[in-house]
Amino acid sequence: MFKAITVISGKGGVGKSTFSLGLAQFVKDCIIVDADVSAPDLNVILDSKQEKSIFFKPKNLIAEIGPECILCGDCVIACRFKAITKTDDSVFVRPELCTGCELCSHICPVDTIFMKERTGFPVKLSRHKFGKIIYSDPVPGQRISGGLVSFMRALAEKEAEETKKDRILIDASPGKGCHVISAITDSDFTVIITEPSKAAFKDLENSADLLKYFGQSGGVVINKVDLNRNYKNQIEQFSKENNLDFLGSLPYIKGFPGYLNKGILPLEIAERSFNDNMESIFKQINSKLEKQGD
Amino acid sequence: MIKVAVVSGKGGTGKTTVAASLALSSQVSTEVRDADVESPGIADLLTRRKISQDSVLLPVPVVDQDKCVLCRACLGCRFNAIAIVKDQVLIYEDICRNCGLCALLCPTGAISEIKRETGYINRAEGGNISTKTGFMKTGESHPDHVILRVLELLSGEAIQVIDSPPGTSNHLIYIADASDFILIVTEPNKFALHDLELLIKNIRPLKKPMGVILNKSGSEDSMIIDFCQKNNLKILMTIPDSEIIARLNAKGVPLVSELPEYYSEFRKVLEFINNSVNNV
Repeated sequence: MFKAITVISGKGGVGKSTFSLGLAQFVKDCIIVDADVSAPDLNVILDSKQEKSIFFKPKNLIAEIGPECILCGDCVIACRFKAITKTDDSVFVRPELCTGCELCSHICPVDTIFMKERTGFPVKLSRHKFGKIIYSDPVPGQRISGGLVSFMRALAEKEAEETKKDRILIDASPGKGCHVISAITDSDFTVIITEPSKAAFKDLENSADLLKYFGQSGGVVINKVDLNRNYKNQIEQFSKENNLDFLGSLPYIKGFPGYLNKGILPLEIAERSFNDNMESIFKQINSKLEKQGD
Repeated sequence: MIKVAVVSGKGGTGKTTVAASLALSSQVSTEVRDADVESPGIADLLTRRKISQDSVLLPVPVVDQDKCVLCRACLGCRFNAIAIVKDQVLIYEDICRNCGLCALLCPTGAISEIKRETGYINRAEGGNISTKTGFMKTGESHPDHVILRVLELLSGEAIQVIDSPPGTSNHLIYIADASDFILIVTEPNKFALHDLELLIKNIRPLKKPMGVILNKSGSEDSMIIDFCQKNNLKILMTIPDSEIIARLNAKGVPLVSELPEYYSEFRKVLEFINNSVNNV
C-alpha cells in the first residue's frame, strides 16, 4: 500500500519544488504529482517522456450570454464572483472567474443566459530517471480549482496501485486555499518548507494552523538556513510547540538555480552538506511513515 | 491615480521586495494594497501604524426546516453542497460556494443567508504611505472574496501599488482588471521562465501596459532577456543576485532602506509607469 507525502510552503520561493525533486531522488521510483497547478514547473527540469495523456474535464459549467441580451446588467450585479462584465454594447462572462453556479441564468429577465459544459485540458503522466510525474498543461481561460488537484491525486493513486509503487509525492502550490487543502487531505505526512526570514515564519505559522485545522501530521524543513541562523532555534521551538517534527535544515547554495537551469538535479550538484542533510530528512520521513503502518 | 499591480508567475521572485521599495521611493501619497491574502507580508516591510481591522463576510445559506416544504428546488445546487437526509435539508458549508442560488430558488423563504467571516482587512498608515492588507482565514478554500475586498473602494492617493499572489490563476484577473499597469517581477531560471510564459498568455488579452523587473540577475539573464525581446516586453530594471540583498529580505528590511542607491532606479520605474499609463 502506497504512502503519500505532501510538500507545502505558505510563501512561494522558499524551495518547495527543489526539495520535492531532492526527496524524489532519494525515494526513487515514486510518483510525483505537480499540484502547483497554476504554475507547474517540475517537468521543466526533469527529462521526462510522456506515457499517457488523460483528459480532465472540469465539473463546473460556464455561463454564456445569449442573443436576446438587453444589456440590463442585472447579472453583472448579481454575480458574486464578479465574473460578468458589461461594456456599452455587450455583456460577457469571464471564463476564468465563472464558477458555474447558475445564479445569473435564474436572474436574467429575458432568460437568455445558458449554462454550457467547459472544455477540458490534458493531464500528462510521464516517466523520468527516478519515477513518474503527473502534471497539467494549464490552458488560459480555465478556472483552475482544487478539483484538478484531486483528479491528479486520484490518477497517481491508480498508477501507484497498478505499478506497485510505494510512494506518491505531492508538490503543492504556495498558499493555503483549496489547491493546498486538496493536496494535504488524505496524505500520510506533510512537509512544510520554510526559510529563515520574517515573512516565511509568518507563513510557517499559517501552514501549521492549516495542518492542525485538517488534522494532518507533518514536519518542518528549513531551506537556505545560512541566510539567517538566528531563526533556526525559533523555528525548532515553534515546531515542537505545534506538534510538528523538526526534520532538519538545508544550506543556502549560491547559484543554485543555475544548476537547475542546466538540468542538474539537487543531489547531483554534489554539495556534501546539502546531500547529507537531505538524506537525514528522508530517513526521518521514512521512519515516520513506517511507524504509521498500513 | 495610477494603479500598479506587481505580479510574477513563480513565487519568491521578489514581488513584495519590489513593491515595498517602489512604494518607499514614491514622493507622492501612496497606497499599498496586499492582495496576496493567503500569505500577506508587505505591510511588515513598511511598518506603518495600524488604524483598523475590518471583517470580510461571506453570505452562508441556512435552512429554517419549519418553512421547508421539501420541494427539492435547492437540490439544483451546482456544487452538490445540499442534500436531503431524513426529510432534513443539509447544507455542507465547506463545499458551498456562497453563490446565493439556493436562497433564490427556495419558494417558501426557508433558506436565508447569515454571515461568516472569511478574512479581514487591516489598514495602517504613516508618512506618505498607507497600507491595506487582506488576510484570508485558515480553513477557507477561496481567497476571491478577500481579494475583491482589498481591490475595492476608491482612494485618493496618487499611486496605488498592489502586491499580488504568485501563480497565474483566476485571482490575477481580478488584480489585472483593477490596475493600470502590470509590473512583472521575474528571475533568470527555468522555473521562472516557464511561469512567465504562462503568465503572459493569461494576461496579454487584458491589454494593459506591462513591464518587467529582472531580479536576482546573474549569468543566466539571457533566457529572460531573449523572452522579453521576443514578446515585446521592456525590462525596466535589473537587480543583481546578491547575498546581501537576500539577507536583507530575510531580516525584513526593505531594499531601499539599506541600499539608498536604489531609490533613483525605482523612481525611474515609477516615471516610466506614469508615462506609459498617461500616454494611452
